[in-house]
Amino acid sequence: MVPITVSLKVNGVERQVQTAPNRRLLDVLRDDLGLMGTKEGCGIGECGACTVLMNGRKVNSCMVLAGQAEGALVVTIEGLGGPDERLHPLQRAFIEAGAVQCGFCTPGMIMSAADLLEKNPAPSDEEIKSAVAGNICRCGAYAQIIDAVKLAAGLMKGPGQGSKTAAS
Amino acid sequence: MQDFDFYRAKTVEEALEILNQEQEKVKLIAGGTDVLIALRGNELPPQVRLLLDISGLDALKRIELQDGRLHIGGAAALADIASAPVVREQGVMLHSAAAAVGSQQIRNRGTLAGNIVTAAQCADTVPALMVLEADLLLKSVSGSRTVRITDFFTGPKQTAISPAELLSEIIINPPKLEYRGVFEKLMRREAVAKSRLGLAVLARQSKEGVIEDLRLSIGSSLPTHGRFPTVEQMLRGQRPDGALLQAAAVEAGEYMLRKGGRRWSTDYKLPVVQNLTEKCLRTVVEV
Repeated sequence: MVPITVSLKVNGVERQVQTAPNRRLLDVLRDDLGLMGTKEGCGIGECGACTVLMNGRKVNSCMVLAGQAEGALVVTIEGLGGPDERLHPLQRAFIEAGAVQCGFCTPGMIMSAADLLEKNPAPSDEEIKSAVAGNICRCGAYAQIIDAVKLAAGLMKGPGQGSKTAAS
Repeated sequence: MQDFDFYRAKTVEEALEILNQEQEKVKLIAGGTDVLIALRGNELPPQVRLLLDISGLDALKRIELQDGRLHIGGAAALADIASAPVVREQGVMLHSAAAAVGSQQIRNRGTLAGNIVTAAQCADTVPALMVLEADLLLKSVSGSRTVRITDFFTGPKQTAISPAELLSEIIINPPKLEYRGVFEKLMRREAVAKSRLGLAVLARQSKEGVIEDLRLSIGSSLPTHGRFPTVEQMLRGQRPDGALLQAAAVEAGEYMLRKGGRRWSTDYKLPVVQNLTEKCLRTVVEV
């Protein structure tokens, strides 16, 4: 295997990584860039724990080869909030609504919800359920997750509370 | 994970050159939602040395009408197909079939072309393309050829594409307004799950109620993707009543058994195929 060099922008920072071609975006984020917020659950694109935004769209980072992320803009859970580790409204809402039990699905769930709120600032329950259909919570905290997304939508309506998911 | 080299094609022409030189040693990757699973399971053919990535080729991402036909590029994502107004307006049930694949995350990466060339029996979009009689534009360095999707699947997981070819476009003649179509997917839960069965029906009736055209395809029911000719023949030229639709649905199940034999899943699939076929026929055919 000939190593490849991948240049991408992660959470607003230009990064260059040399890696084996059979590694995934998920591996680059966690092992090479130390961004451990993104989790690996099933590894086959079914559970959504590894969800990140790539070029403004949510993807399973276990389903993207590192080389396919060349030139991409990637936002992970670490890049969602503001500077100085300020939490994103979704992160605050997940805490407040008790939407975190074991927490393993939470980063992917929040990235999925962030993608929804970016397109639809006031989603209905059904729209939220449909948006997070690709994210599995084994603890079954779905009711609180829906509450949290609605709470975040309310928080983001306030002045100066816009989301930062389009970080570039 | 299997070992391989990786190259991101810069143009379609370059991709075709590499395919021509390396043939079976190359595996194309676009959305990667099937390929990554195969890599993880060490299921890629052992002769594959190079993954050739075409996901960055914008020339393969068109979704548009040209000369009255709908052209969908070989690297167009299912999410873009599901949400494109032109597909909703022209392609009858293709937008709902594309929207039925996996999750939003999968649809954002996975492609219609990949759903076709992987040739899985549970491919969600294939039954719809079968009744729409889509044309597949296959390109190679020596030119291009068109294969009707109804002739594309040559056996279980086998297709008519050669190692030097790339599925460059899926081209659909939009059905005329008199046609009514339905796509129905049956799965174990409401999202993400693989389809247990996927039905597509397209029908046209005259003002007098005579069925002038009827096309039926059911994914995950036959050893190789196909239509149901005996069911179609029973209905064409007829002015249907409830009994005829019911008899046609029974024949759909019997055709499945004749083609694939009795399997472990037959006790479940036979009545479900028959009931779903009748339901879909009643949706698109007026009695």
